Amino acid sequence: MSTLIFRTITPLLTALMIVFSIFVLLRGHNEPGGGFIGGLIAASAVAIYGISNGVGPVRRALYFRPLSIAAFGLVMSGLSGLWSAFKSVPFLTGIWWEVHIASYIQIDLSTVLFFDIGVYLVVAGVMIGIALCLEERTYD
Amino acid sequence: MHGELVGYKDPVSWSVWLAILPVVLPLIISAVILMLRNRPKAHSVLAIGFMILTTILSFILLVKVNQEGPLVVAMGSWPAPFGIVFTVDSFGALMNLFAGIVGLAIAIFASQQTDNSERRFGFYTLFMLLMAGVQGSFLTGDLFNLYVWFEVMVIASFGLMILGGRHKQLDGGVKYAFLNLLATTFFLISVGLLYGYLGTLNMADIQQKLAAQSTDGPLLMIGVLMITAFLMKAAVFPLSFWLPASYHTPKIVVSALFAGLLTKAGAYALIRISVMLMPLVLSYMQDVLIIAGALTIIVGGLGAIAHTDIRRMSNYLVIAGIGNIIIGLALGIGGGLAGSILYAVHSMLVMTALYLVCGLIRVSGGSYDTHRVTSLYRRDPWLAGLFLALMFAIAGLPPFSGLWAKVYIVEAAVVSDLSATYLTVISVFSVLLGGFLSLLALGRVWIHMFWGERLPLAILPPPTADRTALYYQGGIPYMTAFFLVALSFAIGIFPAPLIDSAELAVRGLINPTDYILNTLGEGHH
Repeated sequence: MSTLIFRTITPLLTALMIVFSIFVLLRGHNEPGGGFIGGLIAASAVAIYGISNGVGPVRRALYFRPLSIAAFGLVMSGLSGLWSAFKSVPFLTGIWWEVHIASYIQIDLSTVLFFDIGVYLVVAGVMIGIALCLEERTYD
Repeated sequence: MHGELVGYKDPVSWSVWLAILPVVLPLIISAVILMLRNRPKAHSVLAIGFMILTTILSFILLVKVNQEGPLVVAMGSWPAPFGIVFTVDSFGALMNLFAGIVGLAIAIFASQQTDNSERRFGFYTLFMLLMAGVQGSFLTGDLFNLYVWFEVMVIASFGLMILGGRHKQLDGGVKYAFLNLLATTFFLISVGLLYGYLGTLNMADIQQKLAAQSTDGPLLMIGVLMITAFLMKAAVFPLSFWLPASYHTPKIVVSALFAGLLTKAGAYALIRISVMLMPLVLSYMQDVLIIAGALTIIVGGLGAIAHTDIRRMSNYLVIAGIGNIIIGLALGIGGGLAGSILYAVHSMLVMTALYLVCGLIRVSGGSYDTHRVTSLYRRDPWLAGLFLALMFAIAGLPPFSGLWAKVYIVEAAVVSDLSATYLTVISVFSVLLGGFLSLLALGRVWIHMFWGERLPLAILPPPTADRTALYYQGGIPYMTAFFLVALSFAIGIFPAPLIDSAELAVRGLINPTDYILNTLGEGHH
């Protein structure tokens, strides 16, 4: 699969897909999208890079093991649910902050967002783990 | 930067966290352990520490629920019946506490028995995940959520089953996986049908809607399908073949965990669904359940006698124990159900201890086979004492916890007005025969493995020098098994708190007014 055209275009494609996955993740709160689908897109991006350039470079670039990424996501989601303890509301209740940058930009942050990022990491981590495993077998 | 609540609500008291943490803590810790792959020493410390914490929280939860009635947590503040709720009543809290105790014992035992490579392959991750699944299914108040926790439990158990990757484990794992997936599929189908029929998945809401039904046609079909799924999960006789095919294959500590928790989670769901939600289906199925329970006990007892491998024998003893729970359940409203719950708790403790003791016999004697080990009493008198106590506990003899459960079940069989006399006879006979058969099976092990011929010590085969033996050092495994047996002993001597709790649980199941009121709020009444 490592033709010249494919290898040349892959880094671009991967970067684009990762950015798109983050876009999908962030728009997911009010529009179609979210952590799950974003994670799948991110995993496909990494999988494509693995197909063209081999699994080794991907593992080096990721630095963390895919399953550790997934585990971190799970911890993040769990902790974002527990945050509601500080507000005396039940588990997983969304808590919002309005962050003002300068005087005219306002960003709404919430524990829901962190939960969704956790989901993104879980899905991406697990799917990357599976994909890299399968790709390794092919090239052995 | 300031935090602001959108929408509702009144602040909830701290106590709701008691219902959440026994599930969320193991879940988060399992992920943390997965991240710490290269620090296997830390795995057991984390697992034991958090199992202690979970058990303490579960104990406080039980006390609180027994005093103040069912505790409800609406996830994300989405109110029932639309959101997913945890509704913890006495029954759930009781099972949850003992699951925590068994989990703690397993975590401690495993800290001596698993080596670094098994930990890197995720032993403790899967273990904590399994605990989250078990405790979640005891605490949830939503039928689909129950399915999800069952699935978490089953997936984690697949991983544990094949950890080590020996040929025999894969063989057992395939049978286990296939039949368990079949059972969960039945469960899922019946949940789907029930949702189509009633339009709700919240257990309190289901109970209310079913109680208001005038026809029972669709309900019967759905109920029988769902109960069949749980009978399979609980390993009741004609559906029990996955258990003896698989439970002896993984590491002994994994077998102990499965024997203690998995079938009992099935029994829990069976009791919860059939008694609280579908008493009508239960009354239709009473005859079937009594006969199935009796056959389970007898097949389990005979199977235990037939095998010379003590792990395979233990598999059948687990099945025999489940039979008692089913008969107690079928006898229903009276003392039977209390006996059933008591037996489930008793079974969690002693079945776990049984497999742990099997592991100790393997290390001390060198084999699981009754023909190949002899005179263990001379070599390891502590183990012999432990085994003897366990033998009494499993057979339901005083002074151990099984006695009270069996007293309740037999008494209920005698006083309840069953549709036919032969059902009473079958119930009483099989429960008593079950104790006798267990005693026979374990007594045989006692005679062969612990007494044996009076060989001089010099001729005895040397203790195993294989790798696993190294992990048994320090007496901690003995203490763990001893702790479980001692707990069974303590319950046998001072049964009152547990019996009170079980009777409270039965009252909550038969008349779930508080359960419904707390879950759905005042408006629904």
